Amino acid sequence: MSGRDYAALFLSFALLLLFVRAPRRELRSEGLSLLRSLFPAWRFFEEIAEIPVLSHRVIAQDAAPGPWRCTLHAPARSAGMLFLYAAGNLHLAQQSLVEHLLALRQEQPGGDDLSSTTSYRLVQALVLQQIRNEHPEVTGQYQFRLCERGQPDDVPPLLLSQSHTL
Amino acid sequence: MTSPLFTWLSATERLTAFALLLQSVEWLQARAALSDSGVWQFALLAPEQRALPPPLRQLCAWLLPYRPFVVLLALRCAACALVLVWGHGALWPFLCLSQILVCIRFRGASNGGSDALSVVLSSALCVPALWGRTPLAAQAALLYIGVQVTLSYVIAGLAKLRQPDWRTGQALCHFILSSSLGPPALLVRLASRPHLVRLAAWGVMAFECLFPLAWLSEPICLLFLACGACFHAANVWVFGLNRFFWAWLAGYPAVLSCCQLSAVLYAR
Repeated sequence: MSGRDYAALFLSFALLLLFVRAPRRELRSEGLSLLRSLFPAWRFFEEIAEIPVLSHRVIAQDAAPGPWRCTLHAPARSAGMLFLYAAGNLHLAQQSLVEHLLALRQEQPGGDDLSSTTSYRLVQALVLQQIRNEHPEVTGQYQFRLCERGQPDDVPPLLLSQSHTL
Repeated sequence: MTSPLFTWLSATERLTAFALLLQSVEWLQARAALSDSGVWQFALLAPEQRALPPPLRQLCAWLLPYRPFVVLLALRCAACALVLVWGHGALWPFLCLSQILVCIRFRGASNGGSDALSVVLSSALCVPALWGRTPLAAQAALLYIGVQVTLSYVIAGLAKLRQPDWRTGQALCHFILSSSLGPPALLVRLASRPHLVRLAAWGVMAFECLFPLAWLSEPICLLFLACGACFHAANVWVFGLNRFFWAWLAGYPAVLSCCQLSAVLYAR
């Protein structure tokens, strides 16, 4: 490689570094969000962020609210997970729903009602499915919350849902 | 004798088809979650799709409800199998469009980066499918994939390098210990040794930031690709990101072809 080639390589790298350092502006567009796979950002595990934990409780009829239970349970690793790992990818997609809801909450910290948003309703469907798996015949109401992993119980949750009817 | 360019193209096509086949089989295995009584109910997702352009919105209305979507996944499996066994390049426009539809079904992406690279791979492979399997079309497709794979590492590496938590190793420790699958016992013991964690973090950043060096020569390229395969295999073990492994592996023949291309250009 000649000196000009090294200069070109260095300049390309410098431009890329400037591009990565440049401030980013989030585009708030539902349409673009659905098509974001067409615009890869190529940023993975960049910053330490809160990891939300989804939990739920059942409020049976004429009874006190039950204990909070963790909603998502990570599947075990398996020998074939390199090839097919449907349970693992489903778990990751479910966790992604939870993170989207938390991001929505953080964008609207004023306590706006999120119950009509798609993110909330998907997490609600996730919780309801888990409750039906655990207690197929239970009636009453249920509630879910997002907490930071390892957060003590006396700290207010990141998000507390309203009570919904089973 | 087949030109090396078409050898790399065929390898990229088959590996990409394999990656997409695995994804489609996984979603068929988990199809209950996509049903009208599952989590990703179409009725909940449809309102957001009104923001799409009308032709795409109509396509979503036809193909993304539960039953048509399951059929679409099955057709993807069949198309991928055809590409794997008989190398039918003409199927790439269908695989590309269906990949975008699958992403829309999951509100943009179900698995993050692997979805994006799958779109890159399948869209690039449409070029020789639509414009003829000529050396120029093959080279354009492979060059686009090679550049995107390289950018994926470099941008990720530079973004990490900016973060003080990555430079101290704290970020890597955090991500490993907070793996949603639970951290492997071996890595928990390793995470208690800050020097080892910092070394591993700098190893990851060095691999990613220096990846463009893979274009310089074939031995260096093979070394980087071997490191990449090990890196992605480790991510499968720690984080369960098996789709990343196959998506990036599918792009590796394109990186090799770019290495050969740069050797030809410099020889002139």
